Amino acid sequence: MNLQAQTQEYKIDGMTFGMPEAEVYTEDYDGPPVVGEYVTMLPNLKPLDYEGNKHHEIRLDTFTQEIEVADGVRFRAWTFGGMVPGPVIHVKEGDKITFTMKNRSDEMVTITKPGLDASDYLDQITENNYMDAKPSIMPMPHSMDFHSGTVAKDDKWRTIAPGETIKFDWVANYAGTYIYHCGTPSVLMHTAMGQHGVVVVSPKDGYETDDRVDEEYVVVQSEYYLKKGAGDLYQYDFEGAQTNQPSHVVFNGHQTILHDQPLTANAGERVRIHFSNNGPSGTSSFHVIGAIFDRVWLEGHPFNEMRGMQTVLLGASSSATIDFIVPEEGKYTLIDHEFSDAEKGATGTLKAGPKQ
Amino acid sequence: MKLSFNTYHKLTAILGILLAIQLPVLHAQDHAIMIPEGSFHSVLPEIVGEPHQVDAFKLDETAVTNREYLEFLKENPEWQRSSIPSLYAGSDYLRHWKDDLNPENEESLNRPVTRVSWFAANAYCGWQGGRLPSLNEWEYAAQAMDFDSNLEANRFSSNLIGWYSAVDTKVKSDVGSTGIENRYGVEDLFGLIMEWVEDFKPPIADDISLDCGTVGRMQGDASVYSYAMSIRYITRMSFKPTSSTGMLGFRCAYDLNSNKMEI
Repeated sequence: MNLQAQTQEYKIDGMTFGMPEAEVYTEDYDGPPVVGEYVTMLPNLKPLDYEGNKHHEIRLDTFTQEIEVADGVRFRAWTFGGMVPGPVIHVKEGDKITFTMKNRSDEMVTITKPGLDASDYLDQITENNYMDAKPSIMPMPHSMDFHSGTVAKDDKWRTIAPGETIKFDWVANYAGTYIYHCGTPSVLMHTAMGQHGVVVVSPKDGYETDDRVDEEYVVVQSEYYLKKGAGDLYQYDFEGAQTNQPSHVVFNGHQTILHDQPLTANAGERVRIHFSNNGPSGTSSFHVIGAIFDRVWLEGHPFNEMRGMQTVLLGASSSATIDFIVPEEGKYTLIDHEFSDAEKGATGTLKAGPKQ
Repeated sequence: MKLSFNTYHKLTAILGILLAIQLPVLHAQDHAIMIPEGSFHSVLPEIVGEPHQVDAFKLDETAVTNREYLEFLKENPEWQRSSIPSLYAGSDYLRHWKDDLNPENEESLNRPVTRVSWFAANAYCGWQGGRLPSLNEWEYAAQAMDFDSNLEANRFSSNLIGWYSAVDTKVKSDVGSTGIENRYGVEDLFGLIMEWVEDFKPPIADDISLDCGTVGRMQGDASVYSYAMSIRYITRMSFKPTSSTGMLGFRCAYDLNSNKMEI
């Protein structure tokens, strides 16, 4: 590795830069593949219950899993933590994260073992395995790129072979909802195959409406490029990916999950959604049918406040933190208003009960 | 002339030993195919107008099988799973074999051996009087494919990318089963396993630094074929010499005039 000496830690504007060099090593780790105190399954976000900043120890192993992404559509996906999108990581602006990832793509990794007890994510998926995830093996090189981290990419985002582990630190210098994804070329392929998720970095001084928020969710939009394979399973459609023709455009990785398991609220409540468009290639015109967005913080930064938006246009790897008031009891549809996306699955439901 | 009983048996024994020593080398040469000299374009940077030159060499017709590797292990017990030092292979080395000298099962004997490190592959080829092919030799042989049309070449490459993203290592196949042969009869350079080469991580790999954007920089021409090639290069360049995976095996190459007997 042709590395310059890594920069010593320093501060600018209160932000911390200059992380130590990443470590790459081999170890026979076969413990829980997802470890972290504030790591959850979509659409859940675990509230941060601490003052000031915290040093998090987080592990997301990468491995293959056979998953269902739509009724009757299963494929062998490349994942972080076993689902697509991967687990939601919640941290606070200014927190330091020590991140570990083992490339277990040549191992059978089961995520629904009870008692793995290393993160809420593993408990949640054991209880609610909505992708019917099953272990599978497909050995490939992989890497991790946290958009929420500011580091040298040839060091921290470097590719590791099956069996290897990488470990590095990063500091959440900016608030917002940031994609993480595999950076091993072809990134189009690795992301389309499932290696992406989000980190929600909550601002250290919060958003103005924090004490009025009743429900908080994370919703991620992404595309699949799949075609029928030799047997029952689907497989990556290279031509579809090259020509921007997804087979499915979905919220939270599955075409119908947000209809089968709708978000919930009551009339009169303020709902907050951290919405990310993970791509890999599409844009999203996010709208909630029946509502208008009271506040929109573009990329989730409190400084980027917009008011009264009907639709938020997000490019690939863009996000927004969105507040809206639920007006009446009834159904609301989350939708990508680019209808060729909506008709491929980019829709979800919020069910509202009566005013409390 | 009739030989006495004792002499006859001694002679037979001696001949037998000589034959047994020769056998691996004969076997290797039988199944090794001559690849004539030539040149090819790779996805790594090259001097404009000067494709990579490759001298003539011989390449195994098929990947090394479990049966063949088993023979190697019997004669070289230090490479067996329970003896191999961790310097030469990780803990996944032959992990799918029942034990040291027992491949998965009868049916697996004709399948390519996998979960072997670069060190092990090197040792096997040396034992056979050969060596691992160089990256250029392997890629040159892989590119010596005859397609009826550009359309066919593209379809082939598309399928190849599909294979790279959907290969099921649980579905095991014998060598020769892909039906894919290069111009000279070398089988299964695609569709069965990834293969070790001598210099799987050429010096230029450090400059390329495998990350987003590498594929864009790697494609010489914007063809599907070179896209598929870049995936293969990138995967190989991520390995370490001790790496082993369920879809990584190897075949051996031989210098043209090599007639060495390995004892």
